[in-house]
Amino acid sequence: MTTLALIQAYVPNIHPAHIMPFLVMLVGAILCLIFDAMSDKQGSRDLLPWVAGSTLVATIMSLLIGFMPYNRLFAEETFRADTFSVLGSITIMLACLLAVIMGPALVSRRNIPSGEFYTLIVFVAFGGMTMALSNELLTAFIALEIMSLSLYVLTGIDRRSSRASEAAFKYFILGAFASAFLVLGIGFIFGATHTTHLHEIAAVLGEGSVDLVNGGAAALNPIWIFVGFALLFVGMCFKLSLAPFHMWAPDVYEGANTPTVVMIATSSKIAAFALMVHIVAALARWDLFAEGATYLVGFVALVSMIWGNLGALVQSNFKRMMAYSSVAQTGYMALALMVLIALPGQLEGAKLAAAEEAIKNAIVLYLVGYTVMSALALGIAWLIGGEGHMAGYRGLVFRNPIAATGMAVAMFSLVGIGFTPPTIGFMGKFYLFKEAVQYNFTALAAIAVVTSVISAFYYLNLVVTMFMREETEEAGVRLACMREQTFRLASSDALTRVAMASCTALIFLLGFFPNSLFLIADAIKEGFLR
Amino acid sequence: MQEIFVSNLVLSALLFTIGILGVMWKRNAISLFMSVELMLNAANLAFVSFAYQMGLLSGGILVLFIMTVAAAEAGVGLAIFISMFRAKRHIRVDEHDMLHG
Repeated sequence: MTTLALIQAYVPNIHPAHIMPFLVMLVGAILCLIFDAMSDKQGSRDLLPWVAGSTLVATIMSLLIGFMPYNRLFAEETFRADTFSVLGSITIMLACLLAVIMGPALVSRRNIPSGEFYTLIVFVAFGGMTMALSNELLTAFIALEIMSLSLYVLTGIDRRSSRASEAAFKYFILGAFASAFLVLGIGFIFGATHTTHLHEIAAVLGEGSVDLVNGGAAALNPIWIFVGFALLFVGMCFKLSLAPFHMWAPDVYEGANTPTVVMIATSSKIAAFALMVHIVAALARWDLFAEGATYLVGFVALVSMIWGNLGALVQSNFKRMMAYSSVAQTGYMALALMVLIALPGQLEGAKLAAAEEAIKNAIVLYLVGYTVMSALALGIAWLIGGEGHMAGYRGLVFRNPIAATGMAVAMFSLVGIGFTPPTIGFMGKFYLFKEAVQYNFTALAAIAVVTSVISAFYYLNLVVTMFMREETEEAGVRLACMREQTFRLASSDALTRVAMASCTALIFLLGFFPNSLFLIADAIKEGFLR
Repeated sequence: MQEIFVSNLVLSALLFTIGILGVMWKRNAISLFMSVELMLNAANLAFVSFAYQMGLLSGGILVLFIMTVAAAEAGVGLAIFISMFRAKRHIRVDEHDMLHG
């Protein structure tokens, strides 16, 4: 009896239903490994996409049904689900689902071990979801490593390609470098506040002193928290590919296979942004912190917007262009993150809470929109084999009008400003910049608009190349030989086309009705079951 | 007590800096990776010295988790180095330069 009591005292108080999405993912990942071990090569190639895909769909379902308590800590105060993290998790799942759909064509042509490929995709989704939901810094760090390690392997999974190995190496070394910064940052914050739980950190900062173990209290040392946050932010900047820490992104995008690039571009950024928003929300109520951190985040946002857009102007490779464009797009979101930090200095009480909610919603709307847009662009490039030099797109509209139109929709939406009001790119940017102007960051918002106009040059340059340039013999040969390189599977291609069609539909749907996204969030909040 | 704490943190900062410099200057993949490991262990040292100074048990436990992650990272990293080595028969990183704008 005493033994039982002892065991019970050490068993964490976790309701199984609360962690249902995590359990679903883990069971799915393990099933992938078991099925791979049980079937032969061709059998596992046919079966595993379905296992991995249905795992991701089941996780989305369990998130939608709302097993998790909403806006409340659960699982020993380790996780916290709110609109941002739940919508983010669902988007992460969808991006990984797209990678699974694109997978079979890649696996069969490049002769990639399918067991590892699909299992790692599920682990990327698992790490991303855990990171987005976590309320505890160390859990977040481990989740980030689960996601990153899976992505390093997926980047280099095509072992016969020396480009893929090189990309994996660059991603790995800079990623590991960044996690060292992250750990040291967490260490300093832990040293200053004696806890790694975000809500306890917020409480300690509110009191301005920490309770010591031997009773008594010590004054909070602001230096540790500043240094800790700065180191942590530098680490996250690497993961988010914010300038000036974005150097790995173009090389990795170019060298990695496109399904992996889809996940690097979207899933990892959503997860990292969700974590940053949660950390900032815990720290920002402390006015000393807010003053310093506003400059830090603002500087990074500014440099990312300028460097990303100027860098993309001179690229001739499609995937490198998408990498620099992602640097710029994350810069716009970092701008909103900065507003979130500066907010407690300007508002108070209920107004502050409402304003914070509005900014978080603007960021998550743009994250979802960015995911849809870049998934569409990368997916179409994958379908037509246009992942290389952009000269291959010359006169694409005459050869493949549907693909050219889809790509044009993605490009117009990525530009956002001024040209096509009813797209998610426009609405997302509108809300982001509106928040910045509303809280007196007009100069930065103006720079954001100007850099968006600059971005029109390279996005629309691709549209012009597709629609107005003569089709040359050379361009046809270029695309044809790329298509040969990335051999197609009919079933995988058909599903990818369906996915691309739904991305196009989403771009317009969310553009006309951006609030529909939050209707979903409200439905989850109520819980379909509860 | 206080002196030990401060000197531990100084040591940790030194190790971390040496790690950063190593990542910037070294040109062999293994040396790069050793520098990264040095940085991670410097962070671990900071964690433990904070935990010791404050009398918090949790800090020591967190370090165990970080060491596990570092071990997993080593596994993935060495595998990537091997696949790099297969491509060119060496791992001098400045000669693996196929990807550039």
